[in-house]
Amino acid sequence: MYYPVNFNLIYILLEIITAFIFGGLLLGLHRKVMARIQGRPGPPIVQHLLHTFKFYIKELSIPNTSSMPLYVAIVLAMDAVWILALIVGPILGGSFLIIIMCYAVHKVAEHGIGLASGSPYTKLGSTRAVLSATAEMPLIAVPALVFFKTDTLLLDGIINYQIVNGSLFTQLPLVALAMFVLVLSKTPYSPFGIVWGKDIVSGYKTEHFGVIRGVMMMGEILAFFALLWCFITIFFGGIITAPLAYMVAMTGITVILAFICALTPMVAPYHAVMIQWIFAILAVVNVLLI
Amino acid sequence: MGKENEIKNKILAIVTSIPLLLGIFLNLPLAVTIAILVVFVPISTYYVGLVLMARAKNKEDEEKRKKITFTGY
Amino acid sequence: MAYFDYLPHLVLFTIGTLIGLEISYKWHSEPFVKKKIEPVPLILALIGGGLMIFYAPLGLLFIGFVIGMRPGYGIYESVIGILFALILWVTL
Repeated sequence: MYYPVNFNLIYILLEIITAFIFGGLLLGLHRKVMARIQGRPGPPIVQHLLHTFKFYIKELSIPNTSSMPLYVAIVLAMDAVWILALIVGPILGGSFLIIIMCYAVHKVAEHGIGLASGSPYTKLGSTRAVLSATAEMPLIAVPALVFFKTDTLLLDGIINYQIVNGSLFTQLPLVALAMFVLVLSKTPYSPFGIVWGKDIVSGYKTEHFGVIRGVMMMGEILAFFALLWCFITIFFGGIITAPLAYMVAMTGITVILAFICALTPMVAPYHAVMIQWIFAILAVVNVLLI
Repeated sequence: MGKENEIKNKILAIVTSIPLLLGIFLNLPLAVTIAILVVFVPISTYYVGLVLMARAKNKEDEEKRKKITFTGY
Repeated sequence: MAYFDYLPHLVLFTIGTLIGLEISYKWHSEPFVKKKIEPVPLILALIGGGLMIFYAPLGLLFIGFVIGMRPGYGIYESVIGILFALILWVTL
């Protein structure tokens, strides 16, 4: 594939920084909207970014029970994975499969983060990460069904298909729903967020403080941006093309996600798996209907 | 963390940032650029964070910073 | 497509909210009480709304100041500022 020459390091780095700041503001907005729904004033919109920078200059303490190289490296790997997803997705318009693989490796990273620190809570969180990996049926259903529809998994190709044939959202609404559940399960405070549920303190994040927590939060912000971008591109790519339109659409979806997160309780682990399977099966039903 | 550790972190922060600077000044192929970004951005972020942490810890007004005030957030 | 065209907007908005947070905590260090509309944030929001037409990042700096104020304060002011910007955008 041919890419323009101006994709140099500065260009990509600036895009990553923009994604970081915008994703941080979106997660702040998410918390704010949730708080307003629950009748609290809520934190300021910059709170999530402030948290990230605050953790970034706090003292790092590595527990004695942890395996030190893994404790640090797996968090860096999580960051690296989402930087790769950002480069492949929003910047190059490359393969959707690579982003799906990044999503899968994110699960592995969650598992590794939980195991590395040696605390029982994080181990429970990492066990749940493995359990929730069985819930990722939409992860297979979405790319497969989109491929059968559009004959391509390159994001540029999917956008071109939608410009010619109209948005995939109108053609595959239940697949869009499955992808939406996928995005929802990666949102903070989501009903499917069993991995970092407060019933096990903070899940796999319990022992991660200081610099490493800041780095981890950066990865999560990039992940949120990349997943929202993928959702919009794959299902609304025909309508939404300009960056400003993307930003407005991301804000809208964040508000919807905040409504869902504020109004639903955290479901039990087995229910989380079951509900996501139901959405994956619904997505397959969508193909039979057309 | 001891003094040697801080010096080691500073050196590592500089060393891991060198590929990024090289990528800015040289016109590298796209694949190399992506590899540099994916590998060295997280690592240099981590080590720069450690250096910043050490700076914040050594500040004289550390005690004042730690004091809980109403405006603290 | 280049998202970093909006980097100045985002950075100035973030800086504006941070300044707003700091300064509004200086103004209101008392426990939260429901307040009427205050003059200074209102003027800042109107300036921000007006600047949105001419140079959006600077306008976002001022509107961000009002949006970023201490939780519970500056809500009506920011809504008025955004409405003002919208009205200007529609009429001009």
